[in-house]
This record gives sequence, C-alpha cells and structure tokens, in this order.
Amino acid sequence: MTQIKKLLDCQTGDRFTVSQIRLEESLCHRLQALGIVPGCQIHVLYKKRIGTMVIRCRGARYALGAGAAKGIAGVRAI
Amino acid sequence: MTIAFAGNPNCGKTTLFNAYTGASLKVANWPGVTVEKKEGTYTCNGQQHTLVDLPGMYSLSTYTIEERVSRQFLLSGAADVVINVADASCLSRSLYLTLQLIESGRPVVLALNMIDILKKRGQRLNLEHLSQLLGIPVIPVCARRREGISVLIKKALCADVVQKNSAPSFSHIPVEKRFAWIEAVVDACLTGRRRAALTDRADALLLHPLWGTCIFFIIMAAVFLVTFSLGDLAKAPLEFGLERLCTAARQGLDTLCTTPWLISLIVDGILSGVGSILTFLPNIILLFFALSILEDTGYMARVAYIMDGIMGSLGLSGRAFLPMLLGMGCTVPAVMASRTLETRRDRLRVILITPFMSCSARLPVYILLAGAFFGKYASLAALSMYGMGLLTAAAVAWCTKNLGKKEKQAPLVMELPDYKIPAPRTVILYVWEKIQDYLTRAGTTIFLASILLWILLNVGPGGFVASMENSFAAWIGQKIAPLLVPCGLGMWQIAVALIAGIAAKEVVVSSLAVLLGISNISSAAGMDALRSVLAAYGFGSINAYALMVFVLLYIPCAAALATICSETKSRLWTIGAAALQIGAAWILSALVYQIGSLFL
Repeated sequence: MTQIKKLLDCQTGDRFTVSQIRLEESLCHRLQALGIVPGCQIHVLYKKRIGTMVIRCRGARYALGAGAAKGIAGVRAI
Repeated sequence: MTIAFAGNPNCGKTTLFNAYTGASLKVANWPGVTVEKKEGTYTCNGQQHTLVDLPGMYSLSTYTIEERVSRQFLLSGAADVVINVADASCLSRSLYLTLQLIESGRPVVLALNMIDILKKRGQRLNLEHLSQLLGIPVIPVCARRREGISVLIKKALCADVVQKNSAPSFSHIPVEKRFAWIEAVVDACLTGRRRAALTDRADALLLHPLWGTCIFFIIMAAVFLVTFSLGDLAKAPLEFGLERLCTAARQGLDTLCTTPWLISLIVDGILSGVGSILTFLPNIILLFFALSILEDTGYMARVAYIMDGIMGSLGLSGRAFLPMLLGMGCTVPAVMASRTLETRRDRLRVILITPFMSCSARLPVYILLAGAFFGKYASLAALSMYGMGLLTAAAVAWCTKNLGKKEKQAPLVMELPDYKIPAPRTVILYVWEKIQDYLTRAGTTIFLASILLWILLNVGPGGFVASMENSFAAWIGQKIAPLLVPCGLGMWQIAVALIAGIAAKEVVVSSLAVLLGISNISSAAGMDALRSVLAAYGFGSINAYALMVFVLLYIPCAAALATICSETKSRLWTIGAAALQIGAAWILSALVYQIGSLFL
C-alpha cells in the first residue's frame, strides 16, 4: 500500500480505499448516501487533466468533480 | 390509500407510476428527470387509491430542492405505504435508502427493478433471502416491460396490515456500519462475478479526455443538421397540402358568398398564420426524437462529465450543463431542471443563462429566414444560432461568476447510469407529448395571436382600413421600429412580429405571414415572396441574420418568463432576466448588423 493524501492524486485505473472525507457537511451527506464512506473501495475509471473523474464505487459509476475528489483522503492500492 | 413511489434517482419510479396510472410523465435514462411530486389514481376492486411519484433521492438527508420535496412528503406521514423502487444493478447503494425508509416507520415494499441488467452481467439475486434479511416484501419488476407490476401493487395494498420488519435498527449507528451490514446482505444474496458490460467499452471512447468532447460536439451538430435537412424533405407534402387548403377555402367561401373581410380573416389570418406553423412539425418531431434518443441511452448524464472543465471555468459544475442542453428542446422544463443544482446561486445563474439556449420554438424562424436568405448555406446559418446561443450563455455565466454573495461552488457529483437501448415506448411517448404541445400551441396561442394580429392589421382609429399602414398594428410598430434601426430591423412589420413573438416564438413566423400577406410562407414560393417583399424595404441577408440573432436572444416566451418567476420566486429577478434577454438581443443583433454591413 502506498500512502497518498487525496483521491484527486489518483490516476486512471487506480484503486483507492477511503479513510477520511473532509468536505462541506451537505456534500459529505451526499457522498455518504452514495456509499462513499471511510472503508469503501473506489476504482478510478477515467480522469481528466483538470481532476474531474469517473469512479466506480459499490457497483455504481459516478462523475466526481475535482472539488469533491480533493476532499476524499485515503490510501491507494497497488 | 396513498402509495408513494420513492427511491434513488433514475431507478424507474416514474415508469412504474405511468404504468399504474396511465399517465405519460417524462422518463429518461439520467438522474434528475423528475423534479416535482406528481399524483395519480389507481383503481383496484372498485377502490380508488392515490399514487404519488416522488423525485429521486439517495437518502433522507437532502441535498437538492427536489430531494427536499420527497423528504417532506415521506416524513409527513401522508403515505400509507411506500413502494421503494430500487435499481438491482446498484443494490448496495439502493439499500441505504431502503433502511432509512424502514426506520421511518411506514410500511415499505421493495420493488427491485432492472434485474435484467444483473442477468446480463452474469449475476443472480436470491430475492427470498433478501426479503427475509430486510423483513419487507421484495418484488422483482421490469418497469419498462411492465412485468411484475400487478404482484407489486397487490403486495403494496396489503402491506399496511401485515408488515413487521426484522432488519436491525441503525438509528444511532455510524453510516460505515450501515454499509457494512448492507454489503453483508448483498454478499449473502448476490451470486456470480460481474462481467465487463457494454457501458465500460462505450465509456472508454465516449469519456475519452479528447475524443469524448469532440464526439459530443459532432453528435450535437449531427442532431441539428438532421433536423434541418431531413425535416425540410418531410415538409414539402405539408406545404402542398396547406396551399391546396388555402385555395379550396378561398373558393369555398367565395361560393358561399361570404363577406370579403371574413374570407380574409380565415384565409389570410388563421390559415396562413396557423398553417405556416404546422408545416414545421417534421422538424420539431426530428429534433425531439434525436433528443429523446440521447436522453434514453444514458448519454445525457455523461455530458455533465464531458463539460465539467468548460463549465468549471464559468464557475459552474458540469451538472449545470444539463438544464442548458434541455433548453435546446424547451426553455420551460429546462428552467425547472435547475432545481437539481445544489446552491441557490448556481440555480439563479443557470436560470439566467438557460433561456439563451435555442429552443425548438425558434427553429421555424431560423428555417424560414435562413431558407429565404441563405440558399445552400441555410443549414449552416441556422446551426450557427445554436453556437451563438451557447456562447451568449457562456458569456453571461462568465460575467456573473463573481456577482452576488460568494458561495463556494458545489463540485460535480453525479451518477452515470448504464447505457441502454432506448425503449420505443419511451421515445414515442416523449415525441408524441411534444407533438401535442406543438399542436396545442398552434391551436391556442398561435391561433389567437393570428386572429388578434389580423384584427390589429385591419382595424385603425377610423374602423376598417384599406391599407395596413393605417392600422393599430402599424401604429404600434412604428413607435418601436426606430429603436430597432441600429439592428437593421427598423420596419414596423418586424417590430410587430417581434412583439407578437413574446406569446410564443413560432408566432414570429405566423405574424410575418399575416403581416406581409404571404400565404404558405414556408414553401419555396413563399420564401421567394418573403425575400422579394422584404428586399423592397432594403432588408437583405445581413438584416435576416440580425433578425435571427434577435429572435434567438430576446424573451423566449411568456410561459418561460412565468416559469422563471415561479422558480426564482422573485418578480424583480424575472424583470431583470427579461431586460437582460432584450438587452443582449439588441446589442448582439446590432453588432452583427453593423459589422456585417461593413463587409456586405
């Protein structure tokens, strides 16, 4: 496992385990409802240069803006 | 009994609601289509039950306006039974809301939709075991094919009597533990390994950082080019029919010795006005057919991801582009779709820019003017209006980026559904609804506007007038025309057509037909006549292009203004939006005319 700070630092194809979410409360609630909570696995399917990414989490695909991805901390699995 | 349909966005609630109530509410394959609570009735064994279709929600903690509507309804206790519609292909996420609904104390029946997607992925679900673990009835349904719907409603109708839940209570348990329990439930019920689906392969191309954006613009250009070119081919028989109808009506009324003014009212006013609008029906059908295919395949949601970068530079998330895209169909639902945005500031800004997107009602005006003045470049001239609308919307968004109270921009968070082959029923219903809208407008607003305009054109201060120049309409137009001189539109007839167009944009076409006395204006002969009549006033191609720009940007229609007022809950904001639209129309058409005049 490699320690990294944010989901935003991941690249296309990376797998990531969420450890902490530091975002505005309403956005935290939204991510929670989608199942993006500490301990969950995220697969980065596509990522743009600006940081917007498509992830897979709990079987569903989500488009995630850079503003959300930078508030999600965790570790990247190699 | 009141039965509510609740569930995650884009899981098939409205499709089920339509199946039970016979309604034809819009459904499509992207999250956020339903933004209002809708009610309908279902009769079973002589008893009438109220069914309520709620906007989609991921949890009872709300994030957007439409989710608040659902939450308020569910927590008010108004529903006797909740049918929780869940997407079986995203079971873990769907069950989070299911647990919350069970905890809310209402009887819940879980309707598992999209099981066919699981099968395609090579997975199987043990429904009995799932029902035991959750303690609620679990009914498999296929909303699109209307399978399992009678079993579901029977279960729902007796659910309030027999239900006792066995799922553990998670009221004070952290969300991570809820998901851990949900994952354990899913692992126990779902078997088989997920195979890569078509969606993964399609996304590799459609979401490519470079090709994805290029493909999006090519698709949109193709949609409009098909709308113009194929639509024009299909228009010919309608034009022929209209011409025959006008001739027959005139001859028939002559034979009946009808007074000349009544013949003029019916043939020159009603038939020319309403008929000219009806001939554009093929273009409208094609546009909405193409948009419904885009919506129902699941591509719409991808557009939010594709456009996130560009929208980000305008201070909005990619999600804000969806109302703009819907605006290419009709401004009214597009303005309402702004409810799916998270902050009030984003909503207001999107409401401000969406009317600049070129809606289907403006299409007849482009086809007429571009066809009359731009010959073989007509499609290109009409297509450029969509580009200009998009650029104006972007410019307004950029200018308003730093206005008002600084709120942090909400980042994009949006589910991307699996691609699906569009359901013929959904597409047909969608297009049929748009045809009905169009015909209703032709039979009401445009019909009345044509009669009113005919009266204003034939009546003056001294009664019936021999020349339109002495009519009330001419008087009104002459007062406004000087303001339009810098735009190259300083004719009283154009001024009157533009004022009439506030009722509905198609009225600009019907008004020009009545004002200039050209029957069957949309036919090749009618367009020739339009060009030569306007040429007598010095109105050439650059004036026509300036008129197209003005029509693109000024007030979309009275209904759009009313929607802006109800969505913003502010008359001041509505007046401001209307002033901005008129201002932008005047400035840009003046620029087009003045700069164009230097070269042409």
